[in-house]
Formats: sequence, structure tokens, C-alpha cells
Amino acid sequence: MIETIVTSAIALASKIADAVMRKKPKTELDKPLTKLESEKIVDDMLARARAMAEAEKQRKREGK
Amino acid sequence: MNGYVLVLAMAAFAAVTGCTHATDVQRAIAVHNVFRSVILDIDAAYAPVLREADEAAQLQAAGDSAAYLEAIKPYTDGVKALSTAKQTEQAMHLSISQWEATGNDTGILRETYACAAEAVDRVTMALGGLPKASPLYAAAFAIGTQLRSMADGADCEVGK
Repeated sequence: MIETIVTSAIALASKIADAVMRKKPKTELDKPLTKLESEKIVDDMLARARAMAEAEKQRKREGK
Repeated sequence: MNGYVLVLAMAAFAAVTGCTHATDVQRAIAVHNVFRSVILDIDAAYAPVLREADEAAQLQAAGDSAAYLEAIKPYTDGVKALSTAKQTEQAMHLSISQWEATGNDTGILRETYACAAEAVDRVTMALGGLPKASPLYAAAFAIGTQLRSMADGADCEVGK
């Protein structure tokens, strides 16, 4: 008997809490960040550095 | 009679706990969203600075890869700090999502706040020498302070 009353009371309390919170405008969790613009630019920079290093090697080979 | 008082007390406790949890989650979401937008603002401000630095470094290095890498290093270091901040934002997002869904704060969130505060410190240090950085610096400083307060003494153990 007590168990039923307690279970019902907790369910009711939970509904009240939900109703109270529903009245407030909810803030939504923004989506997680993906690739940043700065990261893309740095990726390009590092690719450029690799290309430069490759060109240097090529020049050295041709200069033999 | 005593039984009814007990039941009422339990119901009131459940209602208060439910409200508190929802309020805490809302606060965490709000802090996450500000943190996220500060990272995006810094990224937007940093991108043109990086492009300019890239052009200058290319001219200066004149095809010498070592000279080019040296010239861009301070900027790549700045982006590394920003990437770390982004990763902590992703971790914070995951922790809050799980907390919101399950109602169980695993305790990871406080550490995530601590890591985010550290990451913000590193980003602000990288931004210190940049022109036009002061409004962003102020925004980053403000969210860093809030994150540190929400970490409530927890330490960031990630990568240590």
C-alpha cells in the first residue's frame, strides 16, 4: 500500500517538475564544433610546406 | 498520519531534485553554448590573420620550406591551442548530452570544465600578441573564469 503511494507520489512529483521546467524557455545544446576555418588554413599551410620540401628535393636531384 | 507526511516529504524532495537537475543542466548548456561561440568568434577573427601571415611567410621564405615553417610556427601553435579548445568543447557536449539524457552526472563534466578553462588560457596567450584581439580576449577571459568556477576545484588530467 505504502509502496504504491510512494511510487505514485514520485511519479506525480516528476510530472510537476517537468511541468515547471517546461514553462521556462529551454536552452538547446548547440551542435558540437566540427573543423574550424583556422584548422583548414593551417592544413593548407602544412601541405604547402611539404610541397616546398618536395620541390627542394627535386631541385637537388636535378642539380646532381 | 506520519506515513502521509513521509510520502509528501518524499514527493517534495523528488520535485525539488527534478527541478534542480533540470536547472543545472540548463546552466551547463548555457555555459557550453557561450564557450562554443567564443571559439567560433576567435576562429573567425584568427582566419584572416592566418591568411595574411601565410602570404607574408611565402614571400619571406621564397621556396625554402624550413624558413616557411619557422615563419608560420607562432600561428600554427595558436591554431593548435584553438583545436584543443575545440576538442574540450566536443567532450563537454558529450558529457552534457549524457547527463541530460540519463540524469547521472558521471563527474566527468567538472574535469571537462577544468580542461576547457586551461584550453581557453592557452588560446588567450596565443591571442595576446594579435592585433584587434582585445574584445575577443575579454570574451575568452570571461568564459575562462566561468569555466574555472564550474570546475569547482577539479583538475584537468587529460594528456597528463
